Amino acid sequence: MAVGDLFFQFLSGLTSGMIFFLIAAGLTLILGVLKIMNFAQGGIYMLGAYTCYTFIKLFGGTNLGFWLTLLIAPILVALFFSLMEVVLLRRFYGKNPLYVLLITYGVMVATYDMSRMIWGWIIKTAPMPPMFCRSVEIIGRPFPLYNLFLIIMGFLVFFLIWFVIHRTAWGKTVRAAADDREMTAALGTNVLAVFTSVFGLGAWIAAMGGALVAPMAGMAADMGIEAGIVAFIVVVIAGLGSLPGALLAAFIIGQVQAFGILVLPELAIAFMYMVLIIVLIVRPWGLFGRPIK
Amino acid sequence: MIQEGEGRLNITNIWRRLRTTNIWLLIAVVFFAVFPIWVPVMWKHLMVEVFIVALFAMSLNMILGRGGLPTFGHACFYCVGGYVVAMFMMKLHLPFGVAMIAAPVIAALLAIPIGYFSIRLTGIHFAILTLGFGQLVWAIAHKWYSFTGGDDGITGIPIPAALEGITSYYYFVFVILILCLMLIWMIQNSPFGTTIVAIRENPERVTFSGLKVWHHLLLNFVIAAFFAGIAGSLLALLNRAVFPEFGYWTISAVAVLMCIFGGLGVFIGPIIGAAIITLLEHYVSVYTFYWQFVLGCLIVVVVLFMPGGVCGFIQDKLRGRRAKEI
Repeated sequence: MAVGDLFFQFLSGLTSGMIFFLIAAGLTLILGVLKIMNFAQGGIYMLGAYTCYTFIKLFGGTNLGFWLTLLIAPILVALFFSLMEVVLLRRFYGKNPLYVLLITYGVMVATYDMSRMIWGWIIKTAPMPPMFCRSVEIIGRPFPLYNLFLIIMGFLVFFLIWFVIHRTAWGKTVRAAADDREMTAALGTNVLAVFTSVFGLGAWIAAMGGALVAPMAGMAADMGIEAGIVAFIVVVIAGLGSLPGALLAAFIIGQVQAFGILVLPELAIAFMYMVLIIVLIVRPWGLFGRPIK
Repeated sequence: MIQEGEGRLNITNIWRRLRTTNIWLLIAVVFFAVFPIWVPVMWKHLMVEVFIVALFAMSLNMILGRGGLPTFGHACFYCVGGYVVAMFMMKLHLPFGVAMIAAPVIAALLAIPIGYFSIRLTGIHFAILTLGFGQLVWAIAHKWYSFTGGDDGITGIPIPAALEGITSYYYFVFVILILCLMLIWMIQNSPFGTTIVAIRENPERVTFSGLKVWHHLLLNFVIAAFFAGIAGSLLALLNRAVFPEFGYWTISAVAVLMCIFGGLGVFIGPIIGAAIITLLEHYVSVYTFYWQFVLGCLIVVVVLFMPGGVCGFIQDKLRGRRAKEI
C-alpha cells in the first residue's frame, strides 16, 4: 500500500477522532468539575445536530447561514440542558452517583424520542454550506475540505476550553470548585452557579460537535446512543476529567478504527472496545488519570 | 455483618424464614400457578416474558444491589445463554437437557475472565469495563456470520414437544423461576450473601476480618452470570430465536433501571421493577410509538420522588404508618 493511501487513512481517522473528541470533551469537563457522569451527553450531541439542521434550513443553506447556525444552535441546546441541570440534577450532588446516572440516562432516552417527535423518523442530512463543497488536493488525492475544517475546529475547541479553564478568572474559580467545593463556597463563590455554567459549557461543546457533524453525515435519533458510549469510552481511556487525555484517547480510537478496518474489516465495531479493555486492564485509571488505589 | 447461626442453612431454618417472610408469597405462587387457566394466549406470553426478564433483573441485582457494583455488561451473559442453547441444539445436535444445563454453565465460565479483570475496579470504571466486555461479546455475535449467524441471529430453535404450547412453556418457566428465586434467596441469606453486603458497606473491614474480598466478589459475579444464562436460554426458547441485540448494552441499562425502579434493597424489588416496566412497555406501545419518551420521564420521576424504588417507597410508607400507630 502506498504512503499516500496510509496518510489518507490517517486523515480519515483524524476526522472521526475529532468527532469523538468533541463529544467526549464536554463529558470530561463535567466529570472533572461536577464529579458526575452525564449519560445525556449523547443526547445533547444528537440535539445539536438536529437543531443545526433546522437552522441551516431556516437560513436557506447559505454560507452566512451556516456560520450563524454554528453560533446560535449550540448555545440554544446548551441553555436547554443548563435548565435541565438546575431543575433535575442539582439536588443530587454529593449523593449516590447512581441517581445522577439514572436521571441523565432517562433524559437521554427521552430526548431520543423527542427528536423523533419533532424531526420525524427519516434520516436527515443538513445541506453542506456552499463554501465547503470542494475538495483539497493532499498528495494527489482529493480530500473533502469540510473534513479539514472539522479537524481544525476540533483543535480550536480544545484550545478554547484549555484557555478558558487555565487563563481566565472564571476558569480559576472552576478549578477551585473542582478541587474543593466546600472551601470555594466558604470563600463566597456561588458554587452551584459555577457548576451550572460548567455544565452549560460541556453541553455547548457536545452540541457544537453535533452541529459540525450535521452537514457531513446523515442524522438519526439513535446517533446519540452510539455517541454517548463513544464519549464514555474516550473519557475512561483518557483518565476521568483529563482534557488532553480525551484528545489523545479520541485520536487513538480514531486511528485504531481507521487502520484496523484495513486489517479486519468485519470487526471494525469491536476495535473501540478492545482498546478500552486493554487500557483498563493495564492502566485502570486511564492514560492521564491519577491512580486512586 | 455476618450473623452467626442466623445464616446457617438447614431445612428448618429456611422453612421458618420462608414462612415468616410472608403469607403473600404463597398467595402469589398460587395465583401465578392458576393464572394460565383463564387468561388468553397473549397474556401467558407476556407473563412468560415478565418471568424471564425478572430472573435476569434478579441476577443483575446480585451484583448491583447486593455487591454495590453498577454493571452495564450483564446482558452479554443473557445473550450467551441464548446462543449456547441455540447452538448446542442446532449445530451440535445435543439433546435439550444438555443445552439447558450448558447455557448457564458457559455463561458462568465466560464470567470468570470478565469478572477477573472487572472486579478489581469499582464505580464508574467497573461500569465502563463491564460495558466494554459486553459490547465486545455483542460485536462478535453481531459480525461473526459463520459462527453466530451475525445480525440475522439464529432462528427456528427446536423445542421439545412437551413444551411446544405456551401453557406448558409457562409452567416450565414458572417452575424454573421459582427454583432460581429459592436458590438466590438461599445464597443471599447464606454467610456468603451477607459477606457480599458487608463488602459493599465496608470492604476494608471485611478484609480485616480475614476474608478475601476479591474472591467473594468474583464468585458473586460468576453466580449472577449463571442465573443470567438461565434467563437467556429461556428467552431464546420463548422466541425460538436468538439475536445479538439481546446482548446490547441498553438491555443491561434497562435491567439496571428495573432493579432501581423496584428497589435495590428489597428481595423482590427487581421482580416488581421488571414486571412494571415490561407490562408498561407493552401497554404504552399499543397507544404510542414513543415508549422511550415515557420511559425516560418515568425514570426521572421515580428517581426524584421514590429514590428507594417502588418497594422501598411502600416499605417506608408501611413503616411510617406503623410508627404512627405505636
